[in-house]
Amino acid sequence: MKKYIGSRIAIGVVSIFLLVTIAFFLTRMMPGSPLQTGNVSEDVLQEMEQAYGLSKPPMQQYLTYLENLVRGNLGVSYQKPGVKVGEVIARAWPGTVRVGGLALVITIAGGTLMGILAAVSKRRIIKDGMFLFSTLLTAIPSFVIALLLLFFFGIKWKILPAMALAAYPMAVVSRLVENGFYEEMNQEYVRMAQAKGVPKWRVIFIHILKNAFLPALHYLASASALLLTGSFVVEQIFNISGLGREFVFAIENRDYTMILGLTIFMGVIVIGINLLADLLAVLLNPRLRIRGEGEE
Amino acid sequence: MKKSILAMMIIVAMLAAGCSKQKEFSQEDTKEIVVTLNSDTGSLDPAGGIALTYLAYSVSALDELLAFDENGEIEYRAASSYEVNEEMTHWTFHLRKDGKWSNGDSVQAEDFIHTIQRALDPKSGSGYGNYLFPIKNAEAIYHGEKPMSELGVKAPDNFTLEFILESPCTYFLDLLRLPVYMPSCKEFADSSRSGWDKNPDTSLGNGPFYLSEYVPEQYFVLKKNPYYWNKEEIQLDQITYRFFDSQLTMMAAYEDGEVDVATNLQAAVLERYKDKEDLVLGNTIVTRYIYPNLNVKPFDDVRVRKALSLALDREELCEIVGGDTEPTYNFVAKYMLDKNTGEAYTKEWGPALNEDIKEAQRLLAEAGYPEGKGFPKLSYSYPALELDGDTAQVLQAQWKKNLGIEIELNPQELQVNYSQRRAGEFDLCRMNWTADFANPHTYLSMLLSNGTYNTSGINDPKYDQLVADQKMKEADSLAVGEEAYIIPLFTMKSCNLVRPGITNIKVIPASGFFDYRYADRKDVNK
Repeated sequence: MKKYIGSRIAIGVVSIFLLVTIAFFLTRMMPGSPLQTGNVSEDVLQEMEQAYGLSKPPMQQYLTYLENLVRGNLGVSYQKPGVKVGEVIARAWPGTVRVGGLALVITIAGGTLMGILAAVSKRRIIKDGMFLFSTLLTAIPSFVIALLLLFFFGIKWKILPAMALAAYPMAVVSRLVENGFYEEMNQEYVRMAQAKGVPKWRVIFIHILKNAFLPALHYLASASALLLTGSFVVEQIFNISGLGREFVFAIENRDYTMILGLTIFMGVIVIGINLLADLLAVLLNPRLRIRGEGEE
Repeated sequence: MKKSILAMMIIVAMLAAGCSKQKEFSQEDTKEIVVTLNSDTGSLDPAGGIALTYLAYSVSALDELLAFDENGEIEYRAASSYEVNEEMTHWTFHLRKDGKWSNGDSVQAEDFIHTIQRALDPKSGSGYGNYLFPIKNAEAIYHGEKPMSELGVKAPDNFTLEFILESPCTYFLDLLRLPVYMPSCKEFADSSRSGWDKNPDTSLGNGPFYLSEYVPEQYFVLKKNPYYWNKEEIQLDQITYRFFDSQLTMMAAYEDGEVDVATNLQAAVLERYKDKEDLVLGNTIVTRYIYPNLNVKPFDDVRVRKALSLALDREELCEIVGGDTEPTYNFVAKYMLDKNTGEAYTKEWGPALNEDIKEAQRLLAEAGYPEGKGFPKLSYSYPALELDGDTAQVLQAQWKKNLGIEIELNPQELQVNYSQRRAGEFDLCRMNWTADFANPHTYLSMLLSNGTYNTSGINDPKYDQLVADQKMKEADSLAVGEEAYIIPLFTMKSCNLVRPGITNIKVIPASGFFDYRYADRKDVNK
């Protein structure tokens, strides 16, 4: 078990190192300079590049960057004079988490209800309606939904960006829950409960849901990683000062340290949540646990 | 299992409940206006690397020595008078004794010199350092060839500021609105990267407003300066600027009542707000044009350059690309006003080119490409923005139809477009220039043989001489007409929405930007 956890963590660390390295050299390969704006003269540009160490060879810049990174220093922004990358992340993340968290609530609540409705309803129109609705939500990109919401409701309601973000995962969850229900509904324990006269709502929400929700739970782990690291487009459209909006701005303006800092931060969260999900799966599933122990 | 689901839901609910209080804009008891602003960029330090955020901030928070109003009359601000010698090389400004920073300290000549000296260090990142070069020895100091003590700016006493220039400069007063000629409080403004500029404790204003709050990426608040010398004329208590990334969101925010003024919106608002009081159109002092690269054959041939320019139908172009564009036939911005006459320069001068398809075809044939035959495959580089993309397609079609030549389109990311233009790596390149100050020199100096923005290989002693002799009309005509060093396309209107009831928003003649310092709102009773 310990060995299993150790190897998962090691893989995570290596992934992050690869991420840093690839991201670093990709930023240096982009055409343009972070210090180039509309009206900067050649002299100013050269002086600034020197001041920020951009005139050194990329390999040397990379080593300096790694050295600082190990000390937990993500560097200063090239575009915002005197502002540290860490500060920007600390400031922008709550905005993203707020929207992402709300989106997660909508995803879980909405997706579960939709899935149950589609599975247990006897009426064709509800079943087909749910099918059509969830197909639409998976097919329409979130930015289109965001623009539609903006067009019809404006920017005042703070729930709109979360709704735009939740649309896709909600539809996926509803499908997973629906399928889970079909599998569970004919199980013996359900018939048993029905035979014993347990109320219908209790059978659905307690007995079946507990098992039918499992596939969705696995999906939610990866979905929540995405929701908590921000959306490039939805944040732009609803003017949320979160990580996604910072990322877009950093890329457009070649703010190398910002791009790297954000990439690393998001990477750590995504990798971390996946790691947690893996570990959680081991804890929940005895078969995996035994195999893990067997390897020790 | 049930527990883990429950735990997850609780965590998520907590995250969501973290929805902290949002700032409430537009309070009832204060006279406030909330204004949109494009994304948070650059410093607020007049000697630093500035961008749009500074331009918005400085209009209300900083007083330059003097400004020009909409009628071209001098409006004294930090200075109360000035003198100049006959040769126009020695300028003396007398600062007003009651000029105060927002902490009550008096504004002194040293505060102006402080900005100038810091901006003359290339490390400051100021893009405006070269506008100090008319000052004696400034250029040499900038390049590290002379010590700062030899700079031609002196403060004989606390309230007198003297400029000694290298050579006569007729437009020196127009330069005074540029950031590098603004004061920065000597006590607090240390370096452009220390963060003093966005910290309300150290960021002082000498204008009618001062910075009271700055929340990066979200908003900043300017409050009325209680020590301002002219505070009786100032009606608003507060101006809040909110940052937006998209014009669409700006419009939605206006419609939801979250902002009172939304500026520089898409042309779509023209249709949506037609005949409504909210819509305010402004003339921006801008020219959008094309650089043909003289180092690329056959653009070294003036006949080819002229053919490309004469073959365009700018009226048709503007009709297609949007209601906020207007054709222009000069380099100097269409609506830049001549302060002596109150008329636009371009109106006084007349067009520098007359579109003529027949003549264009003749010139192209004479250059060896009859009906476009044998013309090499060349490309037009432009930033991949909506307006520029639409423009490029129209240009391509017009050149094809009128001259029979095929120009490839090369849309680029904005940053890539900048850097390739700077490196001279293009055949035809889109360019856009907003005036820095209200004199044709802001445009014409760009094409000088040694100009920073001359990246298309223009090297014309005759042109340089015309600019040096202040023969602006002739220089404009040479660059656009005879030599076609640039191909002008259009100027733009700005589409703005202003809540009815807000009055007295002025327009800065030099840039076309809104100035809110004297604004008032009649819909709020104090």
